Amino acid sequence: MSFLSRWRARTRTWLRRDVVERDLSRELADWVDELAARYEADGCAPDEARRRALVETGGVEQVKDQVRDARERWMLDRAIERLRFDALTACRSLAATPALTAAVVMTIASAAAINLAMVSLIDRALLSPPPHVVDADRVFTVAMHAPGDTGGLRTTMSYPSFAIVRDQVPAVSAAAYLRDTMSLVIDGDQRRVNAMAVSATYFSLLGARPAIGPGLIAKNDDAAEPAVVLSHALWQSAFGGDPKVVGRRVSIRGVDCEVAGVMPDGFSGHSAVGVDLWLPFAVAFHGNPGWDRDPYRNLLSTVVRLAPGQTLEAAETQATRALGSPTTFDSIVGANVGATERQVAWWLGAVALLIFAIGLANAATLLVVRAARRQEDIVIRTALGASRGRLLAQAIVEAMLVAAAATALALAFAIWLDEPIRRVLFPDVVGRSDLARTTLEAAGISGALAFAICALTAVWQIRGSLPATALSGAARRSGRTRALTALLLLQTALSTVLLSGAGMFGQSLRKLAAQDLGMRMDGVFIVSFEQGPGDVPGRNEILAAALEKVRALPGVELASPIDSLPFTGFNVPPISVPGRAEPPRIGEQLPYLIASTPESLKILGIEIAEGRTFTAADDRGAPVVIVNDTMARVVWPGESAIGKCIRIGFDDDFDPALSVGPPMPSDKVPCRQIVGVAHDVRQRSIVPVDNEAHLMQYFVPFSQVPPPPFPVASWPEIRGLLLRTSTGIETLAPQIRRIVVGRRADLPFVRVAAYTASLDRQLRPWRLGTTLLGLFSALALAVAAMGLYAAFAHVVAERRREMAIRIAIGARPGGVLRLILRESLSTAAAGVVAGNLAAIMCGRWVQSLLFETAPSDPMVLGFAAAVMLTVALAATLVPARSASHADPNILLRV
Amino acid sequence: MPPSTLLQGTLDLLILRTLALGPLHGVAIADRIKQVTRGTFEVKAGSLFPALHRLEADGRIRGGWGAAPTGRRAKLYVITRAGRAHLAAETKSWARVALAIQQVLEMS
Repeated sequence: MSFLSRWRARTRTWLRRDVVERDLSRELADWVDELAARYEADGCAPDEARRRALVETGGVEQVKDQVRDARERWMLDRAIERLRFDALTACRSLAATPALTAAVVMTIASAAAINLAMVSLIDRALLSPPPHVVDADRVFTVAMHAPGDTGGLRTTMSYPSFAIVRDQVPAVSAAAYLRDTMSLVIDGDQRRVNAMAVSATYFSLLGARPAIGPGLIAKNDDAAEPAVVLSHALWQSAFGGDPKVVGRRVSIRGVDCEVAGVMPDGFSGHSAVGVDLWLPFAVAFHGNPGWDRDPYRNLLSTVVRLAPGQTLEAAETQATRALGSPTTFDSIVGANVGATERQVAWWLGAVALLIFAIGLANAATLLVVRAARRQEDIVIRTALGASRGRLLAQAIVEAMLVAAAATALALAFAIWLDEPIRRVLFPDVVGRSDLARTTLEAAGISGALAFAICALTAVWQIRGSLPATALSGAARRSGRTRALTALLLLQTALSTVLLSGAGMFGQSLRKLAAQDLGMRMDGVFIVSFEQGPGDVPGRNEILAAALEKVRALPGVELASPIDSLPFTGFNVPPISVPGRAEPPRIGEQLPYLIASTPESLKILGIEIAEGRTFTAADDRGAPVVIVNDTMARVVWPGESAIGKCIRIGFDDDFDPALSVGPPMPSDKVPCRQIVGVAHDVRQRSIVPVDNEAHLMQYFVPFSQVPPPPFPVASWPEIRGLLLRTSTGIETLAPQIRRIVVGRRADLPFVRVAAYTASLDRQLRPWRLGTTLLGLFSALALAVAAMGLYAAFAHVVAERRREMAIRIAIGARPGGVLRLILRESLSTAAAGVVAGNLAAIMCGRWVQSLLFETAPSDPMVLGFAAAVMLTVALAATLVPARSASHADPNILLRV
Repeated sequence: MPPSTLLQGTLDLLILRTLALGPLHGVAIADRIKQVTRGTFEVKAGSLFPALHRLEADGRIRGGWGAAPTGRRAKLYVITRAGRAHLAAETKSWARVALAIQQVLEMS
């Protein structure tokens, strides 16, 4: 029917256009005839008269064209005029309900923002080729598979192997790289940078050029100029974006280098993982000769580019033949991003989509409420003669305005959200430099969806307000209410699930952090060199010299040299107990040695349960040891360990080539007396599974630690300094760094880090879960709050008469308020119950990640329920209050 | 004095004024304008017909087939009520503008 009528209308305009054209032709013919008749009357011959008439007219066809032009211009002017009017009316109409309009825009914007941020992140980290790489689909990373079916995979190779790929695989060009954190010395101050050492072919292979400066232009890897290239970010942060940075001198790995260029903003090499600085291998391996000849130093990763016309299969075959082991090339898209992060990102993307869907549904509900308020306006305009078309046009313009505003706001939110989410989810991935096209496309799609929802709701509403369909509205209402209730249940349940998830992870994190690890970690800091290739020459002397000066710094309470502490490293020398054939073990694990000083035991607050602690005299005294509770209990059950003795270390004549089985010190090694028993300290796992909370440990005076069975430069080894400070570390760290480094430029970066930072890696899953689920649940809650508000505002609007009647016949406003709140809270409560049940079920999937927290933890579920119900109460209080003030007068008006 | 070019919008006004006296067809409208302005404005078909059609689309005049005074068949135009209202409003504002311009021109 609607199709037919539309078709008929269209044919009519065609016919009319015909009529118009015919009329015009006739009219002009008449005009020419009349002019010609006049010339004839003046005495012209008929042909001449006609010619003159045509000349005077200026050509019939030209006049027709001019008339057509005039008509078209007139129609265009009218269309613009109409659009202007519609836009103005739409703006006025939107402004008439400012709170509801803002609510619709904010709901769509916040639901879209999280999606845009996720799209931007997932696109950058996993889906898009890295920026500024030419033809990135022909660039690959190289992996070598172990021969046979062992499944072994190697992604690094030696320089000679790389040279084989570069020189003997004609189907590709190749470049090698090595990532490392290094210390960049600018004007005498150390700065930690994520550096990438590269072969001479690296930049040309990617097709990337510096934005400033010539870049690294070496021909050979072994004779490269000492130069570095900066990332845009490092140029900004370390050099303040100085345009004259090229040519400045910096020092890295002890080599004085020239800054040879700055890469374009957003460039991060062949992957999305951020790099601060690029340097030639010759600089990175300075002081490590043989790096380009030793076939066993498998440190380098290789990227290749397919030569024009070559296929991937052919190149892989050539590489396999040249290297002598099965070799595959993998896409650089999403390279170097961990599998867990990948999975979490996709999951969050799915949750974000769900939030978007719910946000749109809520926006629709809000628009229905808004339409109910604007009903009178529509009725009045209809009565004044506005056609249905005009009303629809205005509604569509309104929808366009709302969708455009929401999308613009969503983009702004997304830009703001991008960085915090990236820091948690993809800490290594380079930050956003500009808006990717994908993000803008996603914004376009979400804007179009928002527009469609707004426009459809408006159209539906206008149809409903026309007399013919108004009667059937009552019948539809019950169906609509059911759908609305289901929607509310869904979003309160989703919010509850996310809240419960955040609660579970948060509770786990809290309990993990609250554990008694047997030592004090707060306010304790470790000063150490960041590891580079090989050892730091003269480390012991540097740190020993620094110790005294650091101790003297104001704010440093205690300082001690350390070897390896729990969570930072380990030392498990051979051990034997007199009278026992086997070394003491728990499972397969031998006891851990912790090199200690009186100060380090004090700094860590290690409690002595029995006997004594170390004193300064132990440094030069008889060999002594303190064992922990577990060791005392396991080795000497039922008796005191004090006064017993153990042997540790290697025999002087120990030869690894001749030894069979695990070495045990013989009675040639002096037996050290146990002078104390300390409480257990957690050694390596933050989660106390199996025996982790009760491993055997013993403490040995720092100077008495037995040496390894091979010659070392100086003994005992000082791997770092342990500090307890009374002031913040921010001011101390640069001073300490200056003390340790002195005037040297060849030292690795000096890390001054909280001891608790050594737990970061282990705590990451819980932090990730807590932060991201917290963020998502906050968004879901905001969306759900808006949904509840909208729904109950809608209910109140529809039941205004009922409320007014109740008040008219004597109901107290408080009673009406309670009635609405009871309905809202019972809906929310049903959602909470469903959400809690779903959380318990989903909780099973993450059970292995929870610590001393069951998915059915009443604290967590109660917390989620309380937050959700509070939000529901707050969201419905406004419409409920307006209902309780329903004016009985409206009964007379409506 | 040679025929001068028409100010934009002036033609509409002249047509409406001409039709206010009674229904006319295209040639008669052009004749009447030329006659009234003593040959100052000579209206060509290329200006007259677009103007007539625009005015018709705006609802200020209405066209219909009838007979010209010569007895020929012709499309006759009639001014509508909206056209008269427009003419009245425009005449008033034209008088104001004309007076103002005259004052400015006579200033020196």
